[in-house]
Amino acid sequence: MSGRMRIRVLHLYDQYLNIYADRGNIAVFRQRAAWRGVDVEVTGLAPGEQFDPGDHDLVYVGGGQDRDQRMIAERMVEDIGDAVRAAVAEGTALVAVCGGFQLLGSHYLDTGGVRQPGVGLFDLATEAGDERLIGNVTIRASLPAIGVLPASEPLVCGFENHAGRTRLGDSARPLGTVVDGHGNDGRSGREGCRLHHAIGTYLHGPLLPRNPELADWLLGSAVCHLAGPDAAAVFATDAGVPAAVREFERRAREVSAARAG
Amino acid sequence: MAPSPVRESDRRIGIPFVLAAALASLAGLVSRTAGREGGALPGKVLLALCPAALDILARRRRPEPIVLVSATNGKTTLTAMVASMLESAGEPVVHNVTGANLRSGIATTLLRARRRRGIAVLEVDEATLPLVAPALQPDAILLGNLFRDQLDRYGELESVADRWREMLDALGTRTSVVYNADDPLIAELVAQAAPGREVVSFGMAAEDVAADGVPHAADSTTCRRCGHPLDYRHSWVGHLGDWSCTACGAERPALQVAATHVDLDGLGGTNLQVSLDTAHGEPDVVVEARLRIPGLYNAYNALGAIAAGSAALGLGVRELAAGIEAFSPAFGRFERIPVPGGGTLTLLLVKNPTGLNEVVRTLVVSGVDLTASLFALNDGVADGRDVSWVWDADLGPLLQRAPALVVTGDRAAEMALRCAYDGFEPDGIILEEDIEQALYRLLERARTFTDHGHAYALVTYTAMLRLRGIVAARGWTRAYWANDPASARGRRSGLRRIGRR
Repeated sequence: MSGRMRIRVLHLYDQYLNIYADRGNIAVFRQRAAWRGVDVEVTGLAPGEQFDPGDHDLVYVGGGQDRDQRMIAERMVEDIGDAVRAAVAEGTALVAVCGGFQLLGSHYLDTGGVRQPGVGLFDLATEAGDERLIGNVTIRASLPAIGVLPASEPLVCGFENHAGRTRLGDSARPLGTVVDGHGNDGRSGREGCRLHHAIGTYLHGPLLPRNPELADWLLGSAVCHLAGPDAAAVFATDAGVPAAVREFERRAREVSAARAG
Repeated sequence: MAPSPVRESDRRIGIPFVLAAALASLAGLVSRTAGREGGALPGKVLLALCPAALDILARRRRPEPIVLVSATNGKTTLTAMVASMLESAGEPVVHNVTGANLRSGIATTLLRARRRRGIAVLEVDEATLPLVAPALQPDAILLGNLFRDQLDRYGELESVADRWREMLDALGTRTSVVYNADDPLIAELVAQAAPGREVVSFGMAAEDVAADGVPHAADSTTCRRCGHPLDYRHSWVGHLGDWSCTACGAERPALQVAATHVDLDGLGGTNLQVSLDTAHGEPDVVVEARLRIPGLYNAYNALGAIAAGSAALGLGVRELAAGIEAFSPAFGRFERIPVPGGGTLTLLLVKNPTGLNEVVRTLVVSGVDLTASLFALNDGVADGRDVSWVWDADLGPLLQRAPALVVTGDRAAEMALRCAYDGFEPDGIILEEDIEQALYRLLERARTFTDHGHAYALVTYTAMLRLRGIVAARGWTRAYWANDPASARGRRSGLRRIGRR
């Protein structure tokens, strides 16, 4: 393909959903793409605005404070619910972390018993529990093949801090299984959710710097959406990533996983 | 002061207070004799044996005033500044200078000082404040700021604000409140609390040192009343500024104590001019002082201390200024430690995005040579187990000026990644998990690559304790627990301590 590829990232409600270092995940998109000679352009979306499902290759949804999330939930469903579902159905990559993950389910029942609507992308529902589930967490993720990217089952590490207990519906598959930590509800051993090239998870810390395979899988699906299945090859290996960074990753993951265990 | 008789109610749970106090003091003595820091141990023992001990200790201090100081950032500095003002005024002071600001630390401070006169000026952890204030029944509370900090420990900002408001409602009107009106969360929670008490607002009016726009790490950008975005005429530190709501009309309250002029004079210090509203048609009273520590956030601390000193403690202009000028940095906060053979090691405590932003801003604005700089990231309970906060700060200005960075601490690799993803040349990142080894690498850089030998270490709390322990063991500075009121605060208290032993 001629010319540089330019991945179009949509950062949903970046002014509100940003409390768990979500900026770190965006920085990973930019930098890992740059190391492979791919550009990234990030567009924010404010409440009340809409987007066209075909306009973006990768959608990012972060976490917010409970209050901000409450404010946003209804607008989100009304303004962009259809667009989010349509985008994922046609192969747009998406990653939603913590609060963003909850907002993409069918609903969230908060501590006051109030039912906040969800976008309904993932077949899951969340209910606030009494105790927050807090700590380092490690999961075994299951990522399907994308274009020329093979399927993989990487260990994914992060930090979780959520009051919500998320239960997956019959049609939903988790992102992975809990190795150490709480996961979706502290009981089922399941963590996160995946639908096509969209994943939702409670893992922040932030998620992507410590988990390069996951970052590259998302970037691979984004370029696949942008330029077809062969284009994903550029994210199939570590090529381009400085050796020093690979070493930092290895050590950061080691500590994170040891903390969770 | 003669101890007041033990009331029957004081015995309702646990053993009698006098016995519990004696055992707790003994525990502290043993711990100190063993060469360990005894900051929280006596208080822990005391509270375990006699759960009502805080109430009793506070009641027995009467009629001596009790002032509580809380904030996410700057509470140790602010408390020490208020104490410095009282000392300048010749008033005996009781305060928890080692930053032992949880329930047990406060109990320890009051236990040790139970036979001493003096105004109690106590730094209190922001989550602990609502838990101890009802027992202490303070005369005044200073509410400095609320920033996002250690979400794993404190929970979300809004819930801390809610608990503070409930605390004010429960305390009744005897407790006056000195508060930072530039913080929309605090201004609104004070406005929402039950009326009838004395409240004193302070804030910035020095427009020439305001920031351009509100930085990324701003934590409170929506209105607490109606949820709409806030608009800022000026902002100074994070979300602290001259704010108003775009929808409901809520706005920064009128300032009773205002910093009218702030002159940031590099790392050397800051010149301040603060106006005290006399509110009786007379001209405002002006305090002018030079603060010996840098940074706009420390100007905020001085402003808060002046507000508390004048409004809650009735100090005059001369004592307020003298207290600010006599103040020396709280341990680990821009603390300069001389290094044998020339040069210095400056310790800069960082613990949350806004605090880190301000430390970076201060270093960069002062134009110091950052050739020898270090970042130590630990994830102990006191640091926050969740290290994601380092990603929310703006490290860019620091990374652009430092040719290399030594990263260390338990989560050093995470910090290394943080820098690499900020575009910092990965080969310039010197990853050394062991803090002692990292310190040597840092000092070696200072010796080899600079002619002044100045090194800068940005450190999280437990990393700071560790670093200070290392340099104290070499005799470059004192152990931090030797810095307590009885040993480091002048002759008067020094003599008292010797007398007690």
